[in-house]
Amino acid sequence: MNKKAQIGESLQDIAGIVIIILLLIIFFILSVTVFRGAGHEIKKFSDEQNIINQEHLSLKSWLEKTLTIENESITAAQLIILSKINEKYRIILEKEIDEAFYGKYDLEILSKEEMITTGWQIFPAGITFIFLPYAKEKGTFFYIPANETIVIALRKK
Amino acid sequence: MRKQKNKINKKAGIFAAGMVLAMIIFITTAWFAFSTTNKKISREMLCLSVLNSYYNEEDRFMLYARESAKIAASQAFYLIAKDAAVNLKENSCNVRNNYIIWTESCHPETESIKEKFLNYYNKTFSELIKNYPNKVQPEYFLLLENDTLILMAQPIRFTSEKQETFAKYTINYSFDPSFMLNLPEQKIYLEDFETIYNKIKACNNNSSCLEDISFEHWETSLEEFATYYLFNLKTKNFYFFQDDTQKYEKIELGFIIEK
Repeated sequence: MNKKAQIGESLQDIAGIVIIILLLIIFFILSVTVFRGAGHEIKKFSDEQNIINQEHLSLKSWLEKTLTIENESITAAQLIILSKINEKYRIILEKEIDEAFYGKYDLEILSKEEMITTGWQIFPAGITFIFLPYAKEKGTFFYIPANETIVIALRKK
Repeated sequence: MRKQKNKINKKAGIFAAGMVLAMIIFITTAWFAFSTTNKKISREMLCLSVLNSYYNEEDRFMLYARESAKIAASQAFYLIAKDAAVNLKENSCNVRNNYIIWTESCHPETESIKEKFLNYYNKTFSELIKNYPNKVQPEYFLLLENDTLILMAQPIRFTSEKQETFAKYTINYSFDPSFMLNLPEQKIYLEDFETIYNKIKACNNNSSCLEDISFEHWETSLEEFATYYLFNLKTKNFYFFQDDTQKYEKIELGFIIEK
């Protein structure tokens, strides 16, 4: 009987050890999956965001840049307004864009109405998932004041 | 003896079951902690993304506001020149062939020009700011100190909210949209009008003196008639302004000086 009891005790020990090993495995799997998953999310988000931020800064600094056009100093933003007033400045503008963005980007110049009809829509965000107090649109864009507000969007070629 | 052993086995069984229960509780707690951390990271990512979009929106608005300020300044300069830089309502001014006659009682004065400039400026600038596509439209207060236009406004606040089952997350961000505009940098010289008048007055109607007259920022054209001189001045620089259409041209200043 004592021997049988001893076997029972040994079985209990083995079961305990198995449970502990199982727990260790579960914790190991958790630590690998949960933490690696979160880390992956940060990395992915950061890369995408970095590109958008870089494009945003490039476009902003270019729009503020002073250009000399026909002996007059004007900003790139003003050249865009000028290209809307007079067609001849459109060619100068295209040349400047190519120089500034190394021919890798196109600059889409639209009025607010054109933007809506071409399907490139700005939609005011309502109280859905998150409330944003301004229009939301993917990509890099700026507004230029004119008779009719001009929308400038940077598009990869 | 057997009864005692059974009692011990029963105790061991209860202990083992307790251990397993404790482990289950422990695992559940750990799992909850891990998933909360994961959610927290997701929330932080959301905050970062929202904040980033706020920074971008701030840039967009500030660029729009600065460009609007430049357009409004040149528009105000154009409107002043169009009225021959006099206050038609307050001054007793006479008109000949659509040109205003500059006299002792009707001539440009820098102080009233500055006042007029602010009125014209405010009108154009407010309209442009109203046209900003997003709901970011602060009310600006203007101040002209020497040659610098100071545009002051209350901070713009962005707020985002997210409602979760047990908590509500709010992200607040604000920035100051105030800025300054140096008028000579925009080739806007409000003192020029009074200087022009004083220079012409100093000639004392001497035609050769008037013909030789020149101004730093203006091209001069003078026509002499029997009883008066007709001045047609044009700025040396180009400006954006609007009359019936939007233009990028030199601004004209026309007036008459009687002999």
